[in-house]
Amino acid sequence: MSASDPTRAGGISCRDSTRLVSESRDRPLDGDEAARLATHVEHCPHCRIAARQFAELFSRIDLLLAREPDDRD
Amino acid sequence: MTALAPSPAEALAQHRRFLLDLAALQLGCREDADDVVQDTFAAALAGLPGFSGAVPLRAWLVGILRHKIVDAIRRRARYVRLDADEALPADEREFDDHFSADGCWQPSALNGSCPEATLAHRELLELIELCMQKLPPNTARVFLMREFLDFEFSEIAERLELTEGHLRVLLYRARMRLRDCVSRGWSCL
Repeated sequence: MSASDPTRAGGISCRDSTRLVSESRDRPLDGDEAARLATHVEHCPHCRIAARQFAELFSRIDLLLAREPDDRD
Repeated sequence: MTALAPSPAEALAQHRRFLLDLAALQLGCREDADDVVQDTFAAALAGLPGFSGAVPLRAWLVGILRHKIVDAIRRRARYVRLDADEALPADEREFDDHFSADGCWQPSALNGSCPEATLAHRELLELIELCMQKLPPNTARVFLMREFLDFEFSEIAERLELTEGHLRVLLYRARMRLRDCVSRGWSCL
């Protein structure tokens, strides 16, 4: 794996990024986690798709379950 | 449109099954679920004149139901345990085939990416509802304690006597499964 491999962007794997996306629904990510996730999603084409799917899913779940999107802060 | 508009009570009744399922999943008992749904409908009928229609009727009802269920749970000394017959894996192995050995997405597991292009808003909500119903009951219950009843992560772990690590995996599984299910339904052709 080279340092510029987009699927390792932010120093985390795609799998790690899905864990962080899930955890961000339960707690605020710390600064380092948030920065790594943002960098990863920005550079990894697969994770851009997955992140968009998760965002879409979460916003519809909020609607279906009558959640305000910013309820959980 | 020639169909007559349903009466308020009829409009509410269309959502009864969904509300009962949500309540029964959390309360573990059909009678208690009936009670909270009954209370929800009574409150909804009383509040209907003030219902603005800014959110879908179902979402409005679900919002009322949430408070009734949380009240019922907090009135109980003990929480209903998770069903011991259903396995609750504490690992993420079921998603091993989504990723390469070094953790990179397998593109085939992504199922395309264009929700808006293929499904109308209402259909998308129905798809998500359908996918939630496909989750194993314990997984759905844990997921909805967090996402619907809005219990804090630590309170769920405590009430269900799970470690935080185990709970984190259960919530991850629920969200990954929902993404799988929903993205298969909305994948681009």
